[in-house]
Amino acid sequence: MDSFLKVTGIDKSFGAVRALHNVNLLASKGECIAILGENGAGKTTLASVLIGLYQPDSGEIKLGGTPVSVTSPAKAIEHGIGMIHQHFSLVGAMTAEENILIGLPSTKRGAEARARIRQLCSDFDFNVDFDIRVTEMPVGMKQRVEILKALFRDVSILILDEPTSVLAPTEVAPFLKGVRKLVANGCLVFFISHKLDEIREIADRVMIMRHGRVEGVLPVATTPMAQMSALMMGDKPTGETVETPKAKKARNDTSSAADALVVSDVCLMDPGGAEILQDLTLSVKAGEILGIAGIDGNGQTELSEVITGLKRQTSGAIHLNGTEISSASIAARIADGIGFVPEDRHAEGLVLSLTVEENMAFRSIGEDRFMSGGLISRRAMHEIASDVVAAFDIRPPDPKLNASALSGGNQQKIVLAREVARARNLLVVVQPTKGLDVGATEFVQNQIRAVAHSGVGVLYISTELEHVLDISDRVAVMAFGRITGVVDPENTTLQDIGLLMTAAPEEVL
Amino acid sequence: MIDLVLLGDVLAGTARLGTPIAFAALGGVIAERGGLYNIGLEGQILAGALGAAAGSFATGSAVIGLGCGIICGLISGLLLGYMSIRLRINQLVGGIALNLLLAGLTAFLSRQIFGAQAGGARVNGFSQINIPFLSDLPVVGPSLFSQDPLFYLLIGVAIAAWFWLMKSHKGLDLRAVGENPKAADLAGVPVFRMQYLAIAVSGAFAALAGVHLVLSQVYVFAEGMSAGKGFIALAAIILGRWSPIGAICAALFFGFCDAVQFKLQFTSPDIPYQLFLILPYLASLIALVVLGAKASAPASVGLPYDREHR
Repeated sequence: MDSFLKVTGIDKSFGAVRALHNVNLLASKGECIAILGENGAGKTTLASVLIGLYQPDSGEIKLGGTPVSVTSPAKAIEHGIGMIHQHFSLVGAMTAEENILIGLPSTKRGAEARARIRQLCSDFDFNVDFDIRVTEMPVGMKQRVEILKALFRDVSILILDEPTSVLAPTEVAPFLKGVRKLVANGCLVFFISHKLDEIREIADRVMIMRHGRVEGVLPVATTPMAQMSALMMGDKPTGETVETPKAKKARNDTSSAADALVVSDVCLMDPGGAEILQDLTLSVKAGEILGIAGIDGNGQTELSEVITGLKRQTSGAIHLNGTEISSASIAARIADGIGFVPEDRHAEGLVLSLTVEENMAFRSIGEDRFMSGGLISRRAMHEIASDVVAAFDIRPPDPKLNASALSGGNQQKIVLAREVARARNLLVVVQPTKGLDVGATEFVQNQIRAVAHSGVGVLYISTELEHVLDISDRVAVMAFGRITGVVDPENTTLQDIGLLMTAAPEEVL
Repeated sequence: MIDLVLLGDVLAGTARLGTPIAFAALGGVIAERGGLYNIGLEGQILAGALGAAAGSFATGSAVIGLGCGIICGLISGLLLGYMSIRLRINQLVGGIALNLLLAGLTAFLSRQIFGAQAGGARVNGFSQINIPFLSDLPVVGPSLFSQDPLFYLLIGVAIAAWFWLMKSHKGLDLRAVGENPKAADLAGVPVFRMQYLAIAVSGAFAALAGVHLVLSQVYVFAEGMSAGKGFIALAAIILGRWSPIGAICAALFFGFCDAVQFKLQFTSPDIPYQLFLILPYLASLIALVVLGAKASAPASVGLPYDREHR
């Protein structure tokens, strides 16, 4: 077989954490290889080694038979290796065009280049606003700029790290079509994903990683999903594979419960005067999980921020257990028992340079359980954190590691553990399963169910529709800053929800 | 007519006193746009001043003095770059350390070079250049068009720096480094090379401030002659919104305040002159309070870039 890319014996450690363990790989041009694995399996680390962001401790990379040393991302670009990161790498203060052109030789930056960017944009059916800066873009559009940036660099090897996790359902199909076009043109595509159905649809072979090792590279067409799942999970029980439909969890009967949260006629204008939330009304009963579905960027994030006090609504009222909290401070809302798992765990959920135990303690540090004689008790902090680390299976199980040393899924568990403990009346979660693998998603969902079961109202905001449908007692669909419909997840069709998600405001109601 | 003479004097003073601040501020803008604080401007002014004095003293040529000053600035800039980029030292601490080092080192070397006699040695400098026709204009002619060559160099360099930073491709790359070095790195920008370039150029510009002090103003090196200009320049960067042109306008505004206070010292001898001396600093504080709130610095300035940081 003509193997274009040959990776042999790659090792990489971060301090005590062994992220990659003797990784070997052969790949040819014109194929799409999915990389499947749990959070922390080493998928992103391997990708970062390929694009020169991390230097491997040992091992060799050969391209077309010649050994190459990818010592920097610039070198990677020279060799035609590009990557689209799960967490964006864009310059917020610049436009899409500037972001795409950064770092290119001057000869590739003229008017011709601008025309080609727009051509690529229409080839791939991407909607990108070229007049605004990246900070002003919704998440999905930022992702499209990232993709354009890689495409513009004429890559022969493209690594996609969870590329569809931020795309709207309607954008996924055209995107996958674009990827197939690339593969057909002879590009070697690595597709890091947790979504088995997508892997099925797009990949020729699947490479399964676990604990930094390659567990197997298998042809997708002839490998049952159950086997992929088993390899990915290792020796864990794999009774619940993706193919067997999960038994619907018993839903709480909350018909007689009191309202935990009532949001009435809330409007929010951005400084430019655009209406982000329009007369939004909803209620969450104690013990109920209200799912908010919708395409990314329709005001869901802002809704969570208005409820938790990060943003102040322009008009309207918010009540928690019958008490108005419309103008209460964030601290007061926390004291009232609102827990909040924000969308961006790196920027808002964690302080990455603090240890796991410090991250668990902060915002509650003044409570008696963390104090001894008026001073912070390191030992109490450590003991409480150790219990949580064990209960939430946070890996590596060392509360004294910096939060930055953990993988995305384990970081999310830290945030969740802290916020669940705080949520006595209401838990607001935004995209809690973003970038998480099957096992971690299930774990997070079960924790949230347990919270609701204990009588706490849960507002579950996510763009991953199947997760929303799976967990919610009721699902409210948001579009253009308002609730366009509330449905029962048991008795609804994807088509109905799709219509609600895309309905223009005039056509609704 | 007396008022016009006064105005002309103040304008000439503005140009003369504002030029060193403007050079230093320009250097600061280049460094900060590339994501590096250059707190060492003050020390680099001294380095440039000593280099200019020594070069001119040794050869009798002001142009060679200028060259020596620039080389001293480049070296001091690269030293700060090594601390900030390679060693990832806190950039404020590194800059202060550089200021202390250069204050001591220039004082020591000046005694070695010029001997211990009071007042140092007088060196050859630049004389003013009268621009034909323009220098004959009333008021602005003698004040703005009869300046020394470094003032005209400042104007040229400022425009060039603005064009390079805001309009050229490499300038875009440098700004991307200052905003988000990881994004720039992934896009193929040689982040560290760009930062070394920026900090070296920054040091050279700061040194030009010192060169101006020695070769265009007093023709002698004096210990501590930078006298806080490097710190006023830091304020000018913020006031000028991290734009080369803006920073130079802000620096000239500080120069204007200084020129006014000199005039006031002469015209109001009854008032203690110390009160007038605080005027430029007061003006910079007020300007920062009034205008500074809206300013937005490059997003990653002061944060060392570590490629393998997770």
